[in-house]
Amino acid sequence: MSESSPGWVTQSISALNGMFGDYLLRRGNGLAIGMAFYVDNQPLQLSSQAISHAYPQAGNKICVFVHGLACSENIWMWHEAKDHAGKKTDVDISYGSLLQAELGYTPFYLRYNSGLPIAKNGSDLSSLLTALLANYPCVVDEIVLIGHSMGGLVLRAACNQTSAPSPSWLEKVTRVFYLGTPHTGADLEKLVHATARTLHAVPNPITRLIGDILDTRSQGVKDLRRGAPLADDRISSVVWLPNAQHYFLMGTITEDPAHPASRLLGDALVRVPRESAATNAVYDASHSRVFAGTHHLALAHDREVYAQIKAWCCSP
Amino acid sequence: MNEEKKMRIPIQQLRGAKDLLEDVVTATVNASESLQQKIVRQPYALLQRIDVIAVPVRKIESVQTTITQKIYGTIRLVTRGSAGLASRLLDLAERNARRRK
Repeated sequence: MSESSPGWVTQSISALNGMFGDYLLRRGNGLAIGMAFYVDNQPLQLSSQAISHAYPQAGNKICVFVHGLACSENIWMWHEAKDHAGKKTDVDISYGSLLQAELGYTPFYLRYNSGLPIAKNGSDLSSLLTALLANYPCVVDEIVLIGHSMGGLVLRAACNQTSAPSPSWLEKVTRVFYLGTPHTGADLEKLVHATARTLHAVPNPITRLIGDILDTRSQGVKDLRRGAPLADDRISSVVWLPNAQHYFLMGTITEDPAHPASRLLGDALVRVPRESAATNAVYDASHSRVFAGTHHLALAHDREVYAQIKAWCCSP
Repeated sequence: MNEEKKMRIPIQQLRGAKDLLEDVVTATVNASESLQQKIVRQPYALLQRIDVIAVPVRKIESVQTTITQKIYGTIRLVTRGSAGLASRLLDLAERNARRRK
């Protein structure tokens, strides 16, 4: 019999990790999340036996889902009413379960401490994928990576491992999907950063205290200011994985993407970027789509978004 | 996959929540004390420039600082005591849970 936290506890802990995850880890706090793939709210042990037990029908194509800041893998799930023996019942659905049923991908859902530096999470994810492939019950031919918000930056960091030799999983990656990922930085974090600096500049103990409180936000949050995750400041830009195709899915808060509110706020947290700035020369209009009226969190569990992911997964 | 699952908050997470709460209370108390001292210092510094009343003002400030430190110290002590008690209760709960297994 295994023990697991109720959903609201998982959500609260993920939110805490997003805001103060580096502090929790530094203090050795039991609330700090260790990176792992999760199945049914339980961490997956990366042994052949455990993987075979959790995934009895593991196939040679896998897809990896990486959630965003302060979220957990539950962000990918939604309920749908299904007819079952003449009765309508609610079933849990996700992009992963649909990709498995329709295209044969075995889904792996990552949970991690989103308050840690993005580059660190990327490096840990790379190690985790290496361990997964080493213990996977069959040979993996193809890996699809899907990241929501900060998750997309974590994927870019994972794909940007500079150590030699490069991890073996990298050459298997065929497609990377970025859902509402702030490649050029998140405006909200830029605003908080500017506010904290201003408050510190005012020679008043109260404003300085408020500035100090703002500065307690995690390094993961602070990294969102710049967007592209750099482990080493000497590297001028994060290279896009050359053997994979990159897809950009973004949302807007209004039905009309040209509406001033959508231009200003994007999907409420991330703005639709300008082509060249967003994608650092890998931009291809046919690999990008804006979902009008779909807000930031909804990008991770939306039928229309899934249909587009599926269509791109089927394309050559 | 189909094994029976208990939906219960693990002790490790309860301990983490207790530690975090203690950290938050302690940091808040420290910040409040520091802020109060900085704010209170300003009028005293001004008054101490007047030679005639400088000595009694210094004494009043010293008494007030002592009282403030004692109050904040008491809050810190109660916080530590409560956290210690909570730790013991969690230890007890953990022992009971182990025994039941």
